Amino acid sequence: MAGVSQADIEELYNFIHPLAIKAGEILMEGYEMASKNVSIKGDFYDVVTDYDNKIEDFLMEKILARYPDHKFIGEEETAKNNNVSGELTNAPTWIIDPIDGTSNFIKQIPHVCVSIGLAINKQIVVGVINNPVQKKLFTTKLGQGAFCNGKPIHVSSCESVKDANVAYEVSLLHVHSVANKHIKRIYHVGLNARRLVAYSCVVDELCMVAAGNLDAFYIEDMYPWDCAAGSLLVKEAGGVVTHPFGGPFDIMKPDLICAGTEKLRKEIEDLLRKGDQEESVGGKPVQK
Amino acid sequence: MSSAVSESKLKEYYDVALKLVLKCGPLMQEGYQKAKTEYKVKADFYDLVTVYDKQIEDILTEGLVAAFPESLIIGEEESAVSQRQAELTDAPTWIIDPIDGTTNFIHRIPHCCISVGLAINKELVVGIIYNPPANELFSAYKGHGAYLNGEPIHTSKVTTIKQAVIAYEISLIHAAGVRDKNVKRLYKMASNATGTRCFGSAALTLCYVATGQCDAYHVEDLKPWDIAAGAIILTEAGGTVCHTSGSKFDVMKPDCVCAATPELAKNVISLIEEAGQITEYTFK
Repeated sequence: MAGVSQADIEELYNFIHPLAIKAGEILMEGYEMASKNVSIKGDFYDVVTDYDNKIEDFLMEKILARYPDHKFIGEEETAKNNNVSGELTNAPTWIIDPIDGTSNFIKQIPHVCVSIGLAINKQIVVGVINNPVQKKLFTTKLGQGAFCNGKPIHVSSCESVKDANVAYEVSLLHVHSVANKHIKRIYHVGLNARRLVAYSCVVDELCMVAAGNLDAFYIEDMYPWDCAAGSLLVKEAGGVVTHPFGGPFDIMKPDLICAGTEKLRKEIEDLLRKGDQEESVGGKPVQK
Repeated sequence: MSSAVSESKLKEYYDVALKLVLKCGPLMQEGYQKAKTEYKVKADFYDLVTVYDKQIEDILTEGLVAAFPESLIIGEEESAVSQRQAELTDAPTWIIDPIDGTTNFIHRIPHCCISVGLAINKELVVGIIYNPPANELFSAYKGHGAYLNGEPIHTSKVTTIKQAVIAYEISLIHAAGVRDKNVKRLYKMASNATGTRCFGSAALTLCYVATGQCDAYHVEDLKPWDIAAGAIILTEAGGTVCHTSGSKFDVMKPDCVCAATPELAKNVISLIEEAGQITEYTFK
């Protein structure tokens, strides 16, 4: 397929921008309800709500009406639909998380986002993320910077982990198969970082790194829709996004470290490696 | 003195404090919006103080002492300046944190607040916590319930750790003296809870348990002003606040377990005891 032009990107961005705002309104409608219809799928803490489905259906319907050949990779879609793709191809592909932070949504913890990313030729070219509870709309187009509510945002200049505010998803300790790995890593990052926070909303944490509210964020075992739009936002805000051990970020297996600077990213990578070398927290190195 | 405070006097304490806290809102918001905020480091390097911290505390203490000359102040900035260990007497005592969550404040993360608590006869009776960036005003006084922006709030009904979203101050891992216990407790609690959050403001986290947004919170080694106002807000919202051992909460050494229900508090205490049994840092 031919390369994507700036005019194409602009058209696609202008198309999706008002839809992201409307999706945020639907999210707020659900967020403000006193009780919600919650069903459980997969693990018991991964919940889906009526509004997750409602937002996704709304976006898909609008996109397909305008672009019938476009593809989707999304949290709910992976369960149902002809346009859904299990792999990323060169075709324009929307990578959508209708509500990131569903457990926050249910508890009305104000870290909840609609995330919409668009990939063409396997590269993210547009990202729009709406955090309607905090009234923040993050937008980005490839090569054209990152914005929050229309104002340019930039990552922080922090270069040392000892000065850094780092987000780490400690809820992953609940997943027993990876709990030991994460407690060791948390130990080493926490020992060295000035501060750790955890909001259970990957998309929002990516936005906060892009805006310089946080200096770095590390996450593994997430899905493409958690990281697609946010990864472009961080890069367009001047930050770095890599695989945790320094290789290229892979949208389809989006384990990542993102940081305001490469120097900080490397320090965090080194701490993760150090954690992995321990047999247990504070223990002796594994004999290999 | 040991006389009980009258209802009307209690209401007066509450109303005056509320008005003063609201008066500080625009000043705090001004500081929050500034691109860079002047700051210096005191005590631990991650415990930051700003000019706004001082200005807000001055407004609060001057206003409260003017209205209630018999009352005393225990405040974060006052404590830092005087270098003396505060002592709680039976006198009405305001326990003030002008900005809780100063690191959030400086980085424009909307989890920072003004916190004012009042103790009389060593018992917490008034709590006001105001987060201007998020437009959240939490308030309570003894026997009259807890409120968010004037609407009643109540804890969740969660009784087991498996159903609970917990909050934990994972940054405490940074402090060498308390690292070991915090890693072990975090592991035990997070591996059993349905989710774990860390917001970086103890006062607001207590409020999030009061609203039912979180279900439990455990923290130690903080100061009275971090916990005082939030503790009365949480108990007025129907929650439980006790010492980590399960005994009576002491605001002057506020190591605590806070929970939506007494049953959940017991669950958390059991996990903390289990964490204490971990040796050689081996987790399984």
